[in-house]
Amino acid sequence: MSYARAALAVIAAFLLQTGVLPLTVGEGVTPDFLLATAAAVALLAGPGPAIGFGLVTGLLQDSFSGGLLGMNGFSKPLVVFLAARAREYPPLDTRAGIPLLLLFAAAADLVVLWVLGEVAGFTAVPALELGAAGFGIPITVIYGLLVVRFLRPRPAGYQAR
Amino acid sequence: MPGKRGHGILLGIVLAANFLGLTFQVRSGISFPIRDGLAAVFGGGQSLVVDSTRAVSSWVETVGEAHEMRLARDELRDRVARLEWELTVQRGMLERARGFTDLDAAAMDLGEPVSGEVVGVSASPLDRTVTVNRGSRHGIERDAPVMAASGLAGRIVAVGPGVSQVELLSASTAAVAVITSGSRTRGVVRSAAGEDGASGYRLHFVPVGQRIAIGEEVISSGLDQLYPKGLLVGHVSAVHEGAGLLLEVAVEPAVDFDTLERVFMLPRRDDSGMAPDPDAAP
Repeated sequence: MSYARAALAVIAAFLLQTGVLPLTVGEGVTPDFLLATAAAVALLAGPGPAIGFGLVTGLLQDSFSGGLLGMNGFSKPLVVFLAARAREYPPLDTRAGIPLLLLFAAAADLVVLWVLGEVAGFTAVPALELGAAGFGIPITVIYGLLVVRFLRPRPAGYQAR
Repeated sequence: MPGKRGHGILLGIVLAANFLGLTFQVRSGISFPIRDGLAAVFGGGQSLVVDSTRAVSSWVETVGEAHEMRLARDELRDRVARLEWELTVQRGMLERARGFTDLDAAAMDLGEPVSGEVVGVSASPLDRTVTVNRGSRHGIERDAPVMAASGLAGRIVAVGPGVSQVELLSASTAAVAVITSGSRTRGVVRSAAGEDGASGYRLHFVPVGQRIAIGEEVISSGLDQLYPKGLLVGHVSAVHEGAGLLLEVAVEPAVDFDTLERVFMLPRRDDSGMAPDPDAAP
């Protein structure tokens, strides 16, 4: 996997999330493109890069939101690391494991943010926002699959037409 | 390359650092200044993407959907007319309020607003901030109040040279000190989005026995030293007796945050809660 492509994917996800999304996706559905990108990198590159990309995307989200700096910086590295670690074990190391682990990352991220807000006592995430993000999970997974396809190295002998 | 143990330690350090950072911010109330720098770096890109998307969208409509464009134009005209009417109502309300006392009048000198366009939304799907295409180059300062044509929208929380980030009043972290127009009830308005099945705002700290009418205007009181007095926040939509000694008052926001496109940034309040005097010596 090329890290330059991965960095490009993060920037694209950020611009998509903050610029294009509000103009295209209907009200009440908020997918998380940055999480999808970090999870895709994690599934292809392993736990080490997962922590780095999770932290960068998380802090980027925190910096461009009104909440506390560190909420997403905590949740993103954790969930993408767990996804990357789970990817090492069967049956999740197969091709079918990728959408399942993307789904896990998207759902687990909401759970971790909820726990940070409600249990640990940091900024509570409004129930409505959680609901909107929950409806966005399928789009998050599909976007993650597209990023995986973008980042995956070409098989040997592959020649673009 | 670090092994499994090394990755675990690295993750532990990252999580601990974030947790300590969160705890520091909650206890001290101080936020890290990283937002200003990132707003400067990424704000231009956001603006470019939004402008490009709008341009492509506009071209497609022009070529293939002329009829829909005519309908959209009519709808926009109608909307502009409604906004102008609302502005007229607001100006009338301000004029009435100015008549109270000289102090009120001074407090309501809003200063010269800077208009801007919303060019991006929060990077987190769980949050309510927007990016506007005006920054320190245009005289925008942190904590400056932000208005939509229909009422108070929020405040500036980060400023770059050409863009700023606005925390909307619909955010769970936002609050504004208010007073109702009829019963002169004071309180604090916050988002109700975190409560079960609720939306809009809640007016907090209203004691039982206070008489508030449905439809009363809720305006900023200026007591928070952040927002100037007299700006429309919303209208009282429901009043219920709570379990304790306080009323549960629901407030319908004056601003539709989902369709927010153009905003007006007012000069930041000084320590006395007054607008800065433009004629004062620097």
